[in-house]
Amino acid sequence: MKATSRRKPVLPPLVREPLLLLGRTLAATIRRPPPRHRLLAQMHNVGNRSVVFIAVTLGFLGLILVYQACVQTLKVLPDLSGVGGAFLYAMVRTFGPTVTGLMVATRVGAGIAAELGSMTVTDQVEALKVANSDPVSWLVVPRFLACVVMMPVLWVVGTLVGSFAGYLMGHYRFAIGTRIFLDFSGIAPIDVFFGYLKAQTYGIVIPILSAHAGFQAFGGSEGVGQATTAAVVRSSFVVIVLDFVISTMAFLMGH
Amino acid sequence: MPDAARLDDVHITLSGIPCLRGVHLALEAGRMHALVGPGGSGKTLILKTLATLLPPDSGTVALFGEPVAFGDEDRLRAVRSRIGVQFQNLALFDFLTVGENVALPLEEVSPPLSPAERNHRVADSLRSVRLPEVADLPIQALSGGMQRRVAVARAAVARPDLLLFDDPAGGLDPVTTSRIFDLIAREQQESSATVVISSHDIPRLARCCSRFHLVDSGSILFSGSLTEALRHPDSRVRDFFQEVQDADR
Repeated sequence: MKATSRRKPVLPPLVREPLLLLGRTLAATIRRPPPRHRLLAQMHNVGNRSVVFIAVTLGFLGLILVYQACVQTLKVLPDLSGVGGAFLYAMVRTFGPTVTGLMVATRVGAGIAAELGSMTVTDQVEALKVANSDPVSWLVVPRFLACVVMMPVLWVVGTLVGSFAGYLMGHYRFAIGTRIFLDFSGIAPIDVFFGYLKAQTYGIVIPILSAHAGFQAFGGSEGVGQATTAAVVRSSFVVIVLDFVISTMAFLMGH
Repeated sequence: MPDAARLDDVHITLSGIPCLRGVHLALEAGRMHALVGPGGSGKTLILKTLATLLPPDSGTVALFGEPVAFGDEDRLRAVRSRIGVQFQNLALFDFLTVGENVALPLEEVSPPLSPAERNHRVADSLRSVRLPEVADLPIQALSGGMQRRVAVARAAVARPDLLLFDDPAGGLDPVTTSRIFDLIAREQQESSATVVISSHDIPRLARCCSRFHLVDSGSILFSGSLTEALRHPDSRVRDFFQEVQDADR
């Protein structure tokens, strides 16, 4: 008797399916780039509509971090000259990209999952299929490219605003001199690169996880709500995990 | 006339619930068919199966004389290019204009259409549903009835051989309902396509459809003319058509 065996997939569906979606998205991006007006609309949605939210969040984060750093330092040392350099280093490498990533996961990821989720439950995705149009090409590619392009931009804006807010706190509340606070000597180009790498990686991962969650929606508004929650939870979790992975990788490489 | 579509012993289970239980359905080509039945009986699932959007768990789906190969994307694309669908909740895209929505099935036709030809076909299609000057409007600018007509125009724009309408006049007033059924009937006369309409409106269906298919609990209980249905030995068939007709009066 002939035995037929089907090999079980190695990766669990929550890892395998987004990876497959990423592959299909990359292929569709090359095969058929989205029309410029549709891409610009998504870039406006991802970038312009998030920039104030991210700037304000990173601004407050900068204020809090510097305040806490100064208060804690003053408990053991009367010298605050190292706070600015350490704060700027942390902003560029970790807080800037990762908090921006978390905010994008919350605002943009939720939006992508909600939009694609409602399109899934209202048959719009099926309408594309029956018209022989690829839903990935139509719906995922413009959002994916917009996130890939805008995420580093948001990282730069968020890091600049957060750093400036931290400087204001250090300078006006704790009387740290401008030159002493804005000490960039501890930030090497490789640190900027790792900050960028994190932001860029989040810009790839967030739209894919969110689109995947949206396509999984079923039923009605409850299903869309569940998909949106899943997108935010998964994206935020993966942002934190990737922060750890990239930081460890940098550490192992001696940076 | 050969069958444009045929379902043989089709079973579909969704989320552990058997939804279609051995559906046998033959749709004679070039005719207008009505798919009727109580809500939740499986009409939409049958239409989605005919549209090749839902592969059956068992049984065969044959379209235009060939069994549908659900795993073969290329063959599926060839079959789908001959099908037009109007979905129950319209499935119009709010990020596209009316014209772009109608043009969607023309995006992937082979050979590709020139922009001029595509615009001409869209304008023609919108004219046929009596919406000649709305192509550049956003879809949200239209009323519910107008959106339904746009969905009808989109289903028919690529001149498909099989046209599937899922509740084309759901929730509309009687005048707009009649208008939409008339539009579908005219479309069928002009194109000779095989048309399937799922609706609860038996009297209006009776004016345009020659064959009725009664779906009950996931299977086809009856296929035939309305006269045959009203004289059917099975009281469930007789009662359904009688009750729906009485309720409409």
